[in-house]
Amino acid sequence: MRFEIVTPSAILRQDTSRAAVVDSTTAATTAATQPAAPEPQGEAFRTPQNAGFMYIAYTVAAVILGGYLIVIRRRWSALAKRAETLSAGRASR
Amino acid sequence: MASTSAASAAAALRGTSTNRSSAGSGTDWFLVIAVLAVVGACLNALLFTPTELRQGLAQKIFYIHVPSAIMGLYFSVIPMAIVSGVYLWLKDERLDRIAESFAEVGLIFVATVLLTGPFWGKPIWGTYWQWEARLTSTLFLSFVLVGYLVMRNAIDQPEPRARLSAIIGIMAGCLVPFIHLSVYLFNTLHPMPVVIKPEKSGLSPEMGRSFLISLAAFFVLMIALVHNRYRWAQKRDRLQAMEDER
Repeated sequence: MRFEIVTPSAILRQDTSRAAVVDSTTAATTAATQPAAPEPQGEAFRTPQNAGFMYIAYTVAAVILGGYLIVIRRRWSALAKRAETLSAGRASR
Repeated sequence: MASTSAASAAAALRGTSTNRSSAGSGTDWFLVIAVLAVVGACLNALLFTPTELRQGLAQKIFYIHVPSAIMGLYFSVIPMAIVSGVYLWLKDERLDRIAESFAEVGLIFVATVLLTGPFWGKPIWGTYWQWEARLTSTLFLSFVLVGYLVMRNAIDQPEPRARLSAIIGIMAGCLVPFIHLSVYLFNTLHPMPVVIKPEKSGLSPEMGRSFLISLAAFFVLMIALVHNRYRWAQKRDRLQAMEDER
């Protein structure tokens, strides 16, 4: 599975203090040890397991849009029935 | 005279069934293609787009939540407000139908935004809902849209209904700039724009591509829904006029 990082501003705003601490620590460590050790990318932060929320959200969206499509179809059927009734009434006269 | 009326009713019936479908099979093919495009965009987001490292799979809600917000706010409610304003000037009933169509489709997209967002908020913020400016103002917009549609159903006379609807439509449109700027004006929990912003986009190229695919698919769906809704309203009004003739 591939991983990529985006930095939404919410995370930046929530983690500003922590990010500052991490940055200063990294800088201090880098200055103290030569050569600088590679940053432990991906080890310090474990990707959260929250697939359930994703599936629920996609299901909710499908229910909303699918429900609306059903409403559209029923509306057209009702309109066609109304037109048929009108047509039949006029033809009988 | 009677034969003319019968012929026009039959023509209306034919028009209903013909416009309902492109090939007489009761299917709006433009809408079908639009729905398939959205399904394809969702599958692309779920199966072929990288997982975000910090947020995990919950971040993929972004690919339906943000396009729905853009379609609901900027491509439905704003056009509804503009068309409503033009209606007050020109008094053309077609403009009223267009505004009505945008309002209903806009409500569907705003509802999608409001109901998918909490499932991102819970794992990322730790709460489903927060009474902060962006979320609360979007909720208020949905109330205005519901009020708009309920009001339309409550008034039978076309001219007063269209005039009042246009006023409410303009008021709904006035909420959109406030919703857009709420993340800048207030200290909100909601993220600021990640993709559309003056500096470089915060998305990786692969994620950006998936987002654009979703945006395009939702745009096609929005156009198809408004188109379908407008044609339905047109037929409804034509039938109503013929029934009133009797």
